[in-house]
Amino acid sequence: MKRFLTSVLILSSLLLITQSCGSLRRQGYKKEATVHRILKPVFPPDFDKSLYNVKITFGKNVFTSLGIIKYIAASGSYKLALLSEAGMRLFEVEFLNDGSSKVNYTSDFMNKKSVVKKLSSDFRLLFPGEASTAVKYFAKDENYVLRIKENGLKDYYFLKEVTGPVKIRQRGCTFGRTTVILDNYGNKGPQEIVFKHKMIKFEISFKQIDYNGWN
Amino acid sequence: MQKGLFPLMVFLLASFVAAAQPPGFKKVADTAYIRQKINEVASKTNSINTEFVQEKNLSFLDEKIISKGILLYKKPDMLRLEYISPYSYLLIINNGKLHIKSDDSEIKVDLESSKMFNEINDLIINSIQGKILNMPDLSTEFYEDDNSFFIRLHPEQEELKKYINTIELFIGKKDYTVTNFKVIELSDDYTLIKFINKKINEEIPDERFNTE
Repeated sequence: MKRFLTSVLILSSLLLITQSCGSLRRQGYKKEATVHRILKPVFPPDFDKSLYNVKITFGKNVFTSLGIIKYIAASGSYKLALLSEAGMRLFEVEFLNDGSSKVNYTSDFMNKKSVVKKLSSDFRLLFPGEASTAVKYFAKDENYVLRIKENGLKDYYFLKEVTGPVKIRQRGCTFGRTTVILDNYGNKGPQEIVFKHKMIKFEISFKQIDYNGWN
Repeated sequence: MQKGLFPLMVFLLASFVAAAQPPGFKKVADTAYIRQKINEVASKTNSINTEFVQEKNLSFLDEKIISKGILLYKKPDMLRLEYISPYSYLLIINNGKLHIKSDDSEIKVDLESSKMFNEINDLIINSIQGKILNMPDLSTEFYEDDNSFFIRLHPEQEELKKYINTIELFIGKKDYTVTNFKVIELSDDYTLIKFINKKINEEIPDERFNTE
C-alpha cells in the first residue's frame, strides 16, 4: 500500500511538472535557453491608487463589493482592501516588496482560514515581489511567458510587448488552481481583472471605476 | 452567501441612524424630552425622500472616497437605497423581501426566512424613524449645541460589537430628524453619511419599492 501511494505521489508530481510546460508547447510557445526579458509589473511605476467594482461568484451565490488597491510609497508595498458599497471594510491585505503578504483585517463573517488563504494567494499574483526571479522563458511571436519563482512558489506570467501581464497562471493542475485574466490596460494598470479557478465555480472580478482622477 | 450580507446590513442599520464629544457640544443630563420628541416626529413621518453623501475614511488612504445617492423610505417598512456615483448599487427592502442590484448582479433574499435578517430589517426601519434610541442593545450618550443633538451609541450586542465600535448621530433641533451619522469601525476607520435636501411626507409611489 505504501509503495502504491508513493508511486501515485511521484506520478502526480511528474504530471504537475509536465502539464504546464506541455500546455505551453501546445499553445505554440517555444522554450528558450536564456531569460532575456523582464517581468513587467501589473501596475505601472507611477501607480498610486485605484477603485474597483468587485464581484465574487461562488456557486450560485453572488456577492459584490468595492475594491481599493493602493501603493504605499513608504514601504514599497501594496494594500488591497474590499469594502461593502455602504463603506464597511471586509478584507485588507498588504503585499510587501519581498514577496510576502500580511492580512491586516478580515471581517468576522469571512474570517475562515481557507477563505483568507485563498484570497491572499490569488491577489498575491498581482504583486510579484522584487526578489522574484524568472527561471524559465517561453516565446511565441511578440508574446512571451515567464515562469517566476518567488518564496518557493512558481507561477506563469503571460506577457505582450506593450503591456503588463495579460494572464497569470498558478503552477500545476490542482483543484482550485487560479488563472488571472488581465485586460484593457490603461494608465493605471488593467481596467479588468478576473480570477478564475479550475474545477470550481469561484470567480472574482475587478472592474476599474472612473473616480475623481484616481484612474 | 447570505451570511455575507450581514455586515452590509449591519452597516446599513448604522447608516440610518450616524469618540470624543464634538467641540461646542455639552452633555445632556435629562434625555427623556429628546427621546419623546424624536418618537413623536417618527410617528408622524410617513415617508422620507433624501439625497445623501457618503464619506469613507480609510487610514491608509490620503483622501476620502465620496459616494452619492438617494434614499427613499415609506411607512411601515419600505426602503430604497440607491448609490448613483461613482458606482451604481441599489438596495430595496419591501414586504419582507430584500433585493440588491448592482451593475451586473442581482440578489434576492426572503427576510421572513431568516430570523437574523428579519431582526436587522427591524433595526434598519427603526433607525430611519429614529426609534433606534429606544432599542435595548445600544447604550447612548446625549450632547447638544444650539442647533443639534449629538448622540453617541455604543453597541452592547456581541454580534454588532464585532463590526462597529461607535455610531454617532446628529439630529437637527429644527425638525428632530437625522442630519448626519458616522459609523466608526473597530479599526477607527469610519463612514460618515450626510443627508441633504430632505423631504418629509412627500408622496412616493409604491412602485419605487418594487423588488420584482
